[in-house]
Amino acid sequence: MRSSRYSFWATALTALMMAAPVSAEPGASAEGSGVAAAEVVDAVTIRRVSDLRFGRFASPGNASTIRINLDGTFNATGEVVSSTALSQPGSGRGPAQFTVDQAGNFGGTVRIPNTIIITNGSANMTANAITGRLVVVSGIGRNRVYRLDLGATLRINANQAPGTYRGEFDVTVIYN
Amino acid sequence: MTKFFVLAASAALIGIPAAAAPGDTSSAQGAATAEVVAPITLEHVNGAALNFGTFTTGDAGGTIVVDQTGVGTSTGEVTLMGGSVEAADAFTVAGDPNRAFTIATAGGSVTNGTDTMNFTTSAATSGALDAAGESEFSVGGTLSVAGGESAGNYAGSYNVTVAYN
Repeated sequence: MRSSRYSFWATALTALMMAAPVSAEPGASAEGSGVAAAEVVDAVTIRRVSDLRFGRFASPGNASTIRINLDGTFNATGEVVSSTALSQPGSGRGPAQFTVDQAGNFGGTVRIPNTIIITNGSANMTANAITGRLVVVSGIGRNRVYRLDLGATLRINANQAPGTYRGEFDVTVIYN
Repeated sequence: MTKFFVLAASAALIGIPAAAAPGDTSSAQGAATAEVVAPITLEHVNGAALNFGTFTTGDAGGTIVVDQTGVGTSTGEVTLMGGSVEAADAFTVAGDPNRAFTIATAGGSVTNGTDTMNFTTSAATSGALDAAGESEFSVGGTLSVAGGESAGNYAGSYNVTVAYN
């Protein structure tokens, strides 16, 4: 079993680097299924800690962006730059954070979204250029607890309709 | 081999163990949020102007001071004429209800094409939009008169900027 897990690692890495279509990796899903049967972990091993918060800003006259970096800093472009100094909601700006419990597994992959769409009910904005990182916060060996940070760039349209925008997304841990 | 990777999934990569049993993967839902507020807009009240009135300069000049309520007074050898009408300028602001904003006004100059006189402006440095997202403010100023400027109608402009706090 162990060697097959390592083999799965290699497959996942190859897929990441080469962007090979799934159909070209028939072995990956088969081995993944085998691992699931052999090793079941706690049901709740990734938990949401905080939302990805782009903060408050004024509707810009031209297309603008706000990027939330993994370290909590942000960058803005376009007309929205001048209004990023607006007093912020209590939660401020910041990256999404999750806690990931390795729970005795050898390792795994965290799947994060490519895009996130947030809406006020009628108008939308899209966040992309999503980046993530895992930081070890405690534990050793196969029992580490990680913090997943997730940043993104919000695309703000010219004359974006005022309102409170929210959108949900999934992050998934795939254990080996 | 106790490593984790973060993988930004494209459609082609999502298919890792599609047939995985429960427990092999763990998902959590996150949320992304943003709050867009109405842009702040500044509008000059049609017909309003910072008016320093009609006056004589004298040889040594002086100043005309127009306060934010539009009342004009002169200093030095400058003398306001009977019937002179001075006025403060007026602006309206619209934007996100109940939000505070800053006001910045610059000085400027007026000219009749031959001579030029400089002025400074005075206004509140901050304001607050009401529940309807509206506000207004006035601008006064001080005109510096050197003395001996040619007679005529002088005109000029100045800049005003408002920004959310």
